[in-house]
Amino acid sequence: MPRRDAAAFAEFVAARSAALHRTAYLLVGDRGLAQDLLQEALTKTYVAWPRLRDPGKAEAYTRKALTTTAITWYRRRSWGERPVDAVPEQAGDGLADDVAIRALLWQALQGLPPRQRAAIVLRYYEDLTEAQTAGVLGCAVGTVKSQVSDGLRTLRSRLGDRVGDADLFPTTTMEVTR
Amino acid sequence: MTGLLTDLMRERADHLDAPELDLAAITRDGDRVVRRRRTAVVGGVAAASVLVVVAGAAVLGGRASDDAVVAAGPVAELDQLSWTTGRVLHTGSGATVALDTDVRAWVWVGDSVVYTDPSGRVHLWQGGMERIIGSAVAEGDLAELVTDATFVAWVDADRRLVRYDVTDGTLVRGPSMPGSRLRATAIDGATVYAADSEGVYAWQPSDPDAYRALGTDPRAVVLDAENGTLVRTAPGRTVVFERDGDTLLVAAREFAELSPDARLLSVEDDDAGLVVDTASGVEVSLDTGHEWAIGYRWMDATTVATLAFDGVGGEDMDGWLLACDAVTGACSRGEQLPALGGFQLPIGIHFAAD
Repeated sequence: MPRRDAAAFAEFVAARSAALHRTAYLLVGDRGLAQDLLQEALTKTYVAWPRLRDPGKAEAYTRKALTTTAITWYRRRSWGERPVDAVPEQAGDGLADDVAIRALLWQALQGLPPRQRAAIVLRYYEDLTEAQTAGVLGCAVGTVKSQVSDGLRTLRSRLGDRVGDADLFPTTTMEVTR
Repeated sequence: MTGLLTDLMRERADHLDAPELDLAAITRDGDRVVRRRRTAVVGGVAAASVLVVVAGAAVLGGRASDDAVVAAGPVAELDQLSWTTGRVLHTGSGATVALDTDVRAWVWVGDSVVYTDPSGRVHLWQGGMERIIGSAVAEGDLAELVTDATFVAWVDADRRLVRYDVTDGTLVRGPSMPGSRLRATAIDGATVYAADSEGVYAWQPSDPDAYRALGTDPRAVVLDAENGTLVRTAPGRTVVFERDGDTLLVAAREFAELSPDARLLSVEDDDAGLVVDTASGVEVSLDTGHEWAIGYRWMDATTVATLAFDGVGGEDMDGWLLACDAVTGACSRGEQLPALGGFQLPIGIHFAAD
């Protein structure tokens, strides 16, 4: 009889929670929030567990739950515009310059609307295809393209001329945005 | 080249400490969600079922009239394993009947069908002919139609109880009740049981202006009645059965269905469909082979039509109709139902998609 197998679910959590936590962190930009987000997404996964059956489906389901829950949180304004961990200093030379650019990029990424941020995380951290990203976000592939394009345009504008496109984005990104 | 953006995301995320998750809280909260969903699915069935038993004659003051006839049991026995999709009725034998309009909630009344449509009209399908016999109001997922023998009852648009006899077309409207949210909850032969915000009642249509208050606790709803024996909701997820001074308490979640002779009680506890012998208290588990089950209507003295689900906690629940033997617990292989929201069962309750 297909019931919730708590042991199998616990095994899945133990094996995949670290990776899922990383995605959650990129979606919300805060470690505490990321943990809460993962906890909530895993609860949804547990509810759906009897029909997920294999770990691959469970992970995909959890990733989708992470994304949609994060967007829902944003809509409810339980998080959104937040102070970043450190305010980037004005870029200078060498290593300090590089650190400042990364801090500025991180801040800009966190400042994106949640759907744009999610689309970028799924495409360029999770390395999902546009179709897979559309599946997670529950939208059309064309919408993914426009969300990514808009997000990257915003990031580029925030960085100004500190770094060139070729250094900032992967090759596939350039194909999407041009 | 992966680019600064990807490098940055990896740099930030890949050095995180492992999350400190509360697995017990996850499973506890998840189980709670599942329970809520199940309650929503069979909420009407649940609300239409729990009981405390009192002797019918005492409740009704020993009234003797033609209306005091008590039905021997369900008439449309095998057809309890039937369902509707849209305006089409599917029977367990494979036959289909095209009704005039989409079915919201329906019941068998003998070999006739009485159903409500999305506009609240009450239809009678009888011998291949169909006509509108009234209008009904729905209170959430509670029963919209209750039936026994040749009678069917509902609450009309004026918030009055109505009892209709399909054999002669006699329609009787009940008195005005004191509270709000009036609903018909059960019928035993000619007696209609109802509840509103002020209490629980028995109404004998032979005296349309009179009804007897059975209690003022609106939660102690009469949800089933057979041969004058009543079943009511009881607090604490417990079903209470009383007969001839004896009381039987049955742990059950929100649902109970009394067999035609009141000897067996169908309940659901901890996801499993159970049948309890009301004389001995002995329980038999229904071996449905599915994740969740409930015996929703008695087909005869020992066979119960059973609704079963797999994937209860998920977005897509697979539903099945089975016939289960209450003595051995054995069940038929069953008919697979359309997706939740795409079918209605002959229990007078509207099954919503969520």
